[in-house]
Amino acid sequence: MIGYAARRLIQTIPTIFVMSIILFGIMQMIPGGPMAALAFNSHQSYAAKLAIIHRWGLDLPIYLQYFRWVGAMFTGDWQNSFFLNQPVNKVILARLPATLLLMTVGYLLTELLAIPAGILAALKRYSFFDQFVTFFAYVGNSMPTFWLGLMLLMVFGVFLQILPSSGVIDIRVTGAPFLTPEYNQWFSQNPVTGVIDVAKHIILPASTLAIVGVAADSRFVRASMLDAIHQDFVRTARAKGVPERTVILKHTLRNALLPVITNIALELPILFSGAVVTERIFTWPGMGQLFFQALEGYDYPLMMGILFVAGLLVIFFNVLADFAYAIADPRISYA
Amino acid sequence: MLERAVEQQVELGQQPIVEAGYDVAIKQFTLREITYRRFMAHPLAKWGAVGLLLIIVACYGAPLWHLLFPNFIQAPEDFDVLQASSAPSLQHLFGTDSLNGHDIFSQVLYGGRLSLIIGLGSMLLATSLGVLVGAFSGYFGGFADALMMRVTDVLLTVPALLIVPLAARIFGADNPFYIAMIFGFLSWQSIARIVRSQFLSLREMQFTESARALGVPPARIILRHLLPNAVGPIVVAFTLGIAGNIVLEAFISFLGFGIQPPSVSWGSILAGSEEYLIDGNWWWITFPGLAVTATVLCVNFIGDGLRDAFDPKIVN
Repeated sequence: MIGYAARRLIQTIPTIFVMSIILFGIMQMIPGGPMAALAFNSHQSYAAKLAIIHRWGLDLPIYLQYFRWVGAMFTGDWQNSFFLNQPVNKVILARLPATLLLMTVGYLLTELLAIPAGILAALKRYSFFDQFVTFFAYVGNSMPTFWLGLMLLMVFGVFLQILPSSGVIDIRVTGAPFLTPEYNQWFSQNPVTGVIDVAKHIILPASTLAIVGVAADSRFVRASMLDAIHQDFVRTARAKGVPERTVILKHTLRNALLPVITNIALELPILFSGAVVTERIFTWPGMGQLFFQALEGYDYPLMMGILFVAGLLVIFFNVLADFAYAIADPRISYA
Repeated sequence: MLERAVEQQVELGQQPIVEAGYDVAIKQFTLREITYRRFMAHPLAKWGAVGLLLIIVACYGAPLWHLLFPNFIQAPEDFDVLQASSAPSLQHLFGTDSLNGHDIFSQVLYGGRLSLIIGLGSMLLATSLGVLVGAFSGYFGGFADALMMRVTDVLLTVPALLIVPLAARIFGADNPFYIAMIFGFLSWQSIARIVRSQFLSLREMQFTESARALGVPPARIILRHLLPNAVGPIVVAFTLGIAGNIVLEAFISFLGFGIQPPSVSWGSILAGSEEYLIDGNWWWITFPGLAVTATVLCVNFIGDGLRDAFDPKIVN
């Protein structure tokens, strides 16, 4: 198992390597190259421009530039964001917790609803409930996430006004922006108020993620459960007179949930994309919102940093999926 | 009933047993006919196809509707600021937007043209690329395969959602053709994987081996012997990809990184609608989104129908 884990981790190295080449390539494709940000500066003389090009090593052959860039990324020098004028890695690190929080809550909500719904739909096949789940899955799969978010925002945030429609905290309550030192200090003094405040704000974005997620996962759980129910050992167990409850909970469920585990983990990248969209709609201060800000401001170092971190996250999720599967399925040996 | 029974027996290669008194012509169905019949027997798929056809006629006929009912259907460049923010009525079926007073019903009809063609065009490109890469990888294997699959993995890694607006920035987004190209270049990976896995098993089949033994060149083996056998999963992925790209286009254009005015797509109608939500202008965001949802629903129905129709395991 440890050997398998080590091998799986080593496998990510070439993936990360190719990813860095692609990102570097995209950066080279930007019109004007890395100098684009300074292109409109009329106070800059031609000599000054050449000096900058030389200082940044932009006159070096392209492969040398690549190695310099990789080296800088490794040592933690991710450049400064043009607009925030802070190191890119610090900016991203400050935004990451909000994204992970939204993803975690959205994900838990999805699975808490999708797994029971899928199992029940499979057990009561062709019932009204089953058909409702199927209908919901079709519609949920066809709705654009951003539009669903906008609709929820409109109904609950604008018309009913029962839920906050933007941000992660209410600054009138906390007195400081999310995760700043002042906020953390306030939070340690008022943990209950703080949690309720964040909870109120997370309902709409997390529900958006969950509705889309449940639509996809409930169908998958249902299919997997139906597969398991029709296995021979289930019939044998029933024939032996094992109570139905035990048949479902002990014999069927564990087998049914195996493919579900891999599927769930493989869906994490989709969940991440969903979080990016949702953050933009609900002005959730995470990486997704940061990315669109960077895009609007032509902030290329920040964009590259976010793309790189997003890629790393997805690779990490994939590894996680493989580990989860290795642990869940004892039949497969990974020696 | 009897006809169906005879069909099945013919399919199974048996001598059909025909009851006395019935005059049944025995006909061998081609794979294409069988697939078509199965597709039409799938109720959702049939309705999906009808719905999509209606949407296509409604959208691509928009200039004609404008000529026939000039008061009811506005040209995309026409607007009336005095009518801005009016709620749905007989004159403005879906209301008007708050910015310029465009009639949203007309915009949805005109906008569908770009949304649909971008979905279709991007997946045509993506499918060609995916089949090319997947077929090469799956048939020849070895180092090229390993390299291509690694690249495919990576392209699946970085979320397309983030790359698309960036690419639109780089290559210029005002041209719908570029948007379709960008989408196409970012959605071939899953098709390449599907084709590769199909080819990995197909190349070990005896008919491939005999073709190789006869000296058939690889290109012809791939085109004549392998590709037709892999067409089912490809068509399904193609269909579902169209749905995905219509949604993606809507998001990108909604953000203002995609289709720009005066061109209209379902996403670009929604651009700017966010700021007016607070005024209670619900019709502006509701109807274009419903158009996307209805279209994608139809396409997904068709995709599911195709999956069942092509699946040899399901016998009806």
